[in-house]
Amino acid sequence: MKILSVKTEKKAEGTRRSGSQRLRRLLIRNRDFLLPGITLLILILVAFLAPLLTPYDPTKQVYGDELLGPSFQHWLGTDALGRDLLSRTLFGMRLSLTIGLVAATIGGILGLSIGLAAGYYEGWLDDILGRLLDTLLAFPALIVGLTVAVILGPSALNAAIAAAIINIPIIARITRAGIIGEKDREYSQAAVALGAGDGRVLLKHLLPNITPAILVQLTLTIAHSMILEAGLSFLGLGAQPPEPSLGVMLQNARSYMRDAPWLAVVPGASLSLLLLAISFFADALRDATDPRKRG
Amino acid sequence: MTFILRRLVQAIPVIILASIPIFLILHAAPGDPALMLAGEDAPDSVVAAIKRELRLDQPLVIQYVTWLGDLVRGDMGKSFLSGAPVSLLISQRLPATIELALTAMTLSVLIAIPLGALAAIHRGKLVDKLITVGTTFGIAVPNFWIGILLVLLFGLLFHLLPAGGRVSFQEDPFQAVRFLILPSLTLAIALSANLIRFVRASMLEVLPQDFVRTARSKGLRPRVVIFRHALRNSLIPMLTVLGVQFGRLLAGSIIIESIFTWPGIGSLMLTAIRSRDFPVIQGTLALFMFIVIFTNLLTDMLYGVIDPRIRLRGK
Repeated sequence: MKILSVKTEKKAEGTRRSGSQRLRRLLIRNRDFLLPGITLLILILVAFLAPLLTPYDPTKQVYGDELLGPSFQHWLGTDALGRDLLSRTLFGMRLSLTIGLVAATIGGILGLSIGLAAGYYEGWLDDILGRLLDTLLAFPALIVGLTVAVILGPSALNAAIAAAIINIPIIARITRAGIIGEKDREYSQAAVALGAGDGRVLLKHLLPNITPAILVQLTLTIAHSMILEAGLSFLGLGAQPPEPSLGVMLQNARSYMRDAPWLAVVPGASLSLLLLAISFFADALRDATDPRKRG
Repeated sequence: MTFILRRLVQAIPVIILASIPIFLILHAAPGDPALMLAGEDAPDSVVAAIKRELRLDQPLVIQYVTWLGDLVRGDMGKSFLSGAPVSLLISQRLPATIELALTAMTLSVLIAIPLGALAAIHRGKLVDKLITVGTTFGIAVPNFWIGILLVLLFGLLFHLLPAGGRVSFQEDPFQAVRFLILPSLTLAIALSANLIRFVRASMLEVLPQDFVRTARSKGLRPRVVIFRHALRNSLIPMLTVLGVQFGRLLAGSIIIESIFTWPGIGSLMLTAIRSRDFPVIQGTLALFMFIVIFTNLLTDMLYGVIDPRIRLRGK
């Protein structure tokens, strides 16, 4: 029996490695990844290296430099308080991405745990969790975000918490559906028959098989979280000035639309570019991992 | 009939679950609401009287049950700011929001049906690819930025349409339409992008089916086959998508109303949040909650009527 379990473990490891290799090969081979992937990589690098790339402090106000147009000193001009627009945009992108990643990670971990438990055990646990999640899922993100902002107060962190709360049912539902579809398959039953515990069956056998679908959804939740943060900040209920958030910048720009329209164009365009890159990347990921489209 | 009854009963725990956070807003938000109403320097007796009036001196469970009971009867309390009943404030603002949401919904259907059908008919060709990429833009780009761009272009640069505000239809129908165009279009873009994908997908499902082939082999003109046979059958499920999307559309209107200074529920809610006018915040959130739950319920029932398999499942 001992020999048998060692053998199956080795075999399982072997298939796992080839699985991840297959994924890597798909990513490289599939040219749909190229454009969104490279764009996204550049945007992420630029955003997270913002402190090194920009010579200006994004919150430093310079009297006399208000509402300057694009120039050699300020490539994208300055805002109404004399702050460099390029620096603020890059730092804003960094904040936006950070909130997206934090919300997707927290929502992902909680959603994954709930989805695994509900899908594997079903029964009353699934009923209760399902009802809770369906309720949460029925509500538009912004409504949940506003409620959280009223209760916890407006801040970038609370916007991330709201986004994480919204991500939980989305990830949980897709995990649950995946587990229910997989747990009765032969490999899973074989693992149970060989004496593997619940945790081992779930994490080592079932989870790797539903990972692609969850990854696609996680990528999209990053984008959704970023939209929520920007929306709440735009309404004054997310990140607070002088923090460089793209939503705050868009709100501030509205007072100067006639004289300095670029103030509204630049932050919105950078946010949209980020969201589009993530969106196209998720689409390519879905196509590459969907067996029906793999042919 | 039992199906409808069962769905109604199932909605009750959802309403209770969703209403708890709305109720707790008053208690969870920082600061004592009674002290806020009375003023910082008010004597204790006045604060205590306000607490009694707001039932804040009672146990939390009792407070919740009375609050929910009042809510169901349409009594949402009085505004901390103006003292006016919240239900009155809402009824004054609701027509503007409904007008905006319904116009946006109609617009998005008018955009989505022809474009979705066009993409499906020319599957894999350039038209299809352009439309599909367009829908990704429509879904990914935040609608409040699209709204700002539209204001910039049509309101400030070309002076074609008003940049914000509202005129009611009773006052001046022509102006009413002019004020309605930009906000409703902004709101419609994301929804129509979603709908285009849906129409395209369901058309692709319908097109290879036998009844379409029969219609073709009867010698009917392609246009008749597409419009009278394929499209009509692929549109039935769209009703249900519209139902689910209505809540999202209403939520989207909160931001859009703020951009276009549209005097609806969204702007009422935002003003209330900024001034910490808790009864109005609770009332508007509860209204959104009821609309979302009600449209979902209606959609479910509609689906059950259209598709007997749903109705009979779980019996």
